[in-house]
Amino acid sequence: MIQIKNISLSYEKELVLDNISCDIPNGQNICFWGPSGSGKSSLLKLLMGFEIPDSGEIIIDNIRVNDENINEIRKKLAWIPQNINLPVNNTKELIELLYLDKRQQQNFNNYITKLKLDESLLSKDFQEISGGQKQRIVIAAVLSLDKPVLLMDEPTSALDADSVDSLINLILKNSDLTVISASHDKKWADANDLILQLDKS
Amino acid sequence: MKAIANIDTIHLIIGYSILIIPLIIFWYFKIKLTKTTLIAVARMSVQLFLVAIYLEYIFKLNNAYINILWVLVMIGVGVSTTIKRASLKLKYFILPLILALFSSLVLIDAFFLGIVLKLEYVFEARYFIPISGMILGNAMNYNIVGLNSYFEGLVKEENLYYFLLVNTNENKNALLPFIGKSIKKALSPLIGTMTVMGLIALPGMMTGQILGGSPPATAIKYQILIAVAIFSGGSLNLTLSIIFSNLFVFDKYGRLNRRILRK
Repeated sequence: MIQIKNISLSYEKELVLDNISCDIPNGQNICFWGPSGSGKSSLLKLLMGFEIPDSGEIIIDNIRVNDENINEIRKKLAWIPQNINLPVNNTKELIELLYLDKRQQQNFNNYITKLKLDESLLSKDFQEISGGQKQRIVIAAVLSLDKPVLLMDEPTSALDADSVDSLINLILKNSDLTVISASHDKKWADANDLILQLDKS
Repeated sequence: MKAIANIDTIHLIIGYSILIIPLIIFWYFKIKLTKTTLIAVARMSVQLFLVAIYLEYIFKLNNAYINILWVLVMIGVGVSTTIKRASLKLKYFILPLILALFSSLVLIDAFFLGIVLKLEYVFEARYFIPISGMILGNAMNYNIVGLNSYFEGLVKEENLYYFLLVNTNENKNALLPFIGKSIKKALSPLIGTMTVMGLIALPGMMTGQILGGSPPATAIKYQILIAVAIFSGGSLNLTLSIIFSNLFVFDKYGRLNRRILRK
């Protein structure tokens, strides 16, 4: 269970999140939904300890997110940011970058199939494949880490309609993961178990 | 072997006149480097003349405390220059970089002066000061390139650092791409120089020793050792600088202080 309790956050005196609370049971999916600047990404960063709230607390599996527990908390989390520029040229380098062990590499190959990616893409240079294909390879690599909670920022931003469908089926419909995402994609948001709507005001 | 030919004042001035070539190039291509170059040459000349006068006394006195003090001054100047030229803020880096440079120098000096050269008195001015100076000067240059690449990279690619921090569970794994890039960028020029040393370039120290009357075989051995000492000292100093600085620029959550760079 992930509990967000009365969280407020401000950047240089500008209030971004005001007294936000919600409970996310294990295995449920939630989408933080709202316009740009409504604090969706900030809420994800708070879960990972990249932002510290002005007030309130976050508890993940009965462990409070603070400077003493943060490493233990992060072991439970996997994170896919939006438009990340990875210093890798191909899949092999991506696997090395994430230190995937043999079991995780086997997971990776399974996710590649489930995400309907052609295995021949794996031997290609990232410059030769599309942004959407590269994003799905990165998603497969992060999923293969086998962590119980997956955080995603705008997961569908570089994907076409078919790829969005296969991602929804794989991650939101057919997995035990707790998926927490920030998105303004209506189709993606509607496929979640829960939606937390955030307003700019 | 004949003693080295002395350079009298007139010929020293004639020697300076060759600078007309780069100055004409700057003027012709409208490159704004003339003032900086003239200031650099003037500074170099004054500093070296002062050092020559100073070293005369230091060599005569050959006192360990004075020699160590001289090297400590070099460390202080080297660190403040590094911080300034790597566009970093003094308050975050002064302590870690002094610690890194001091530790690297103690180790490399002790190894080369004590074990390799087998000096009975390791603070012997004519070895301790020039060899420390060469290691320090080079270590400073590698640190300017390496630290700038590392910290600027972390600030610019913060997303990558956080991506790796969460997904790989280890702070070390998250920093490895940045550390690797920084060390490669800093040390590659020296690796390149060592690769062609003796073929297309005769290093200054070796040339100086030969001009000073040393047999080429001795000069070459010193040159090899000093190149190895510079490389080892530079890589150790950069690595320690990164490790020690990390203690000051990340908080307990592993978040980078984004205000470490000078604008």
